[in-house]
Amino acid sequence: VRVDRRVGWRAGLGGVGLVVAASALITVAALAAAALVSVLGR
Amino acid sequence: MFLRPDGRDLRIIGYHLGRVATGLALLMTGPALLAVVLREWNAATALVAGAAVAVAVGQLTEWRLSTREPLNWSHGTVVVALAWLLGPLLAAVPLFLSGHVDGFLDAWFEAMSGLTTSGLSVVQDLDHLSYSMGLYRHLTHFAGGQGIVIVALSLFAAGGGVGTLYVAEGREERILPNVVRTARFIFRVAGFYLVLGTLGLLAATWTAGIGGWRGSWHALNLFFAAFDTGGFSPTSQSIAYYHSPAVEGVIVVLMVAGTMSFGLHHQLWLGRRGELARNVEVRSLAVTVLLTTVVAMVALALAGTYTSTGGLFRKGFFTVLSAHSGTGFAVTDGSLFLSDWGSLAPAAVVIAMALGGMAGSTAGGIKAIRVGLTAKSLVHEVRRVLLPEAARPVTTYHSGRRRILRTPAVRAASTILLLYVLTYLAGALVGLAYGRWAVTETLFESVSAAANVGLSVGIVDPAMPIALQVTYILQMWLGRLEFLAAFALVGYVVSLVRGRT
Repeated sequence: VRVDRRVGWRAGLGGVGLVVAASALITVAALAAAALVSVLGR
Repeated sequence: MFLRPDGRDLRIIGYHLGRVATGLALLMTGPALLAVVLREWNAATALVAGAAVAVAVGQLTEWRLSTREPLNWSHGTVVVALAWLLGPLLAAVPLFLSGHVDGFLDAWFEAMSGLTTSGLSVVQDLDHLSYSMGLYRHLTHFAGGQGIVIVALSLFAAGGGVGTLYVAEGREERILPNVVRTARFIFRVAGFYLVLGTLGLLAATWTAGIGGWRGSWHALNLFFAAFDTGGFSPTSQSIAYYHSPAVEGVIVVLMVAGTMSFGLHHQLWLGRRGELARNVEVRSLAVTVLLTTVVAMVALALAGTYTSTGGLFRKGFFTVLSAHSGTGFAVTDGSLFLSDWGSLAPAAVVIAMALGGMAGSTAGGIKAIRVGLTAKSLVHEVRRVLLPEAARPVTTYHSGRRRILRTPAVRAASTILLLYVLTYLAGALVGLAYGRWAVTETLFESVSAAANVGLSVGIVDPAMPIALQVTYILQMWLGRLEFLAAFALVGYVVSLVRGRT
């Protein structure tokens, strides 16, 4: 089966980058929520 | 009335089950080689014996039932259902011979938990398990996690019932037009993450003070458990063992990657970053993860368990994401969920476990697509009631492309959602019947098993009652199969007895 160049290793790096960005986004949102809850809880 | 299957049908099913057995033998060879290299002779004996049994069963079956006839839809369904039930029996042999489980039922439980990427464990003295047997445990996550997608695509895509399965998952097309190319892409994604994820974890464990050969072993095992949303861990303390924000950070990325559908991975590899913002599953998952995280954090703060930002973030967010993605890694002792976390925070974790990740990923649970479609359907019905009678509102959702929300897709999603809820409740009731645990405990454990998560409040234990253990085994099996194949198997067995000739 011919390898589809559109999903080669360069595309993979881009895909992984987007997953890392999405993870970072949700992590920052959770961190902000934790800070807010911590401040309001005092 | 269904037609009664004949010898030809049983031959086709048996032949393909034999191939699965041979595949399981291959799974044991890598750890067996490692055992020989490390001179772990007990583990080597157990793994070689397990591989020999699997090869014997596989080759004997393939030889006796050899056939070139293709699988049809019902054959494929029955093969999948039986493979996930009987495969763990073969995978259990090395674990049984390892001496770290109390009987064959425990070994079957452990193998089922590994292959279904659940992560509940009954292994005794885990911290002294040999390196090779530890690798084998984690490899079951990788094989099961990648396998279910491949098996589903390879078997079902050729059959006439493919539409039913895909509509049930909210999808109407394969990732790529060719099944072989689809399978190849899935393995490419897994291979890519295997290299990058293991390197990331290697660096993270090194900063946590675990370097060299041991660090590599930890990194590889953690990768298998995180990317395949499994939850087994090299040590009995799970992720709490590392006390490392770096390890937790890399695992967060791998859990997010693991809970994403391979369809979404394909879109991202094609550079379609807009899919992240528009996809109904991404939106559904983002909303439910953040909601359950906030609820858990507020509850933990109110209970006084954690009040600092760091404590709320590292314990609350990690635990909820671990639960929601179906991974089941723990950063706190399971018994603390009930003793120190109050009532609301464990409830948020249970809801996160019940909802699960994306369809077409290795995650379990109800799945984001079903939650998203059900929510969209609810909004659609409200709009229909509020608009003038002659109006015909159209609701759309994005999944690879813009789609119109149609009744069959909503009905299929709602049916599976209801089946999951019933399975969660059934397992909780079985636990309650023993009169030893509160409903919160039995519900937590039941949801964890049926949603293939792996977090535990302590009911899952080598000393747990046999009937409850069998219940959890069946729940893990049902949860992984998403019911359809399991019900089809029951129907097939009934038609064997009562079918029309």
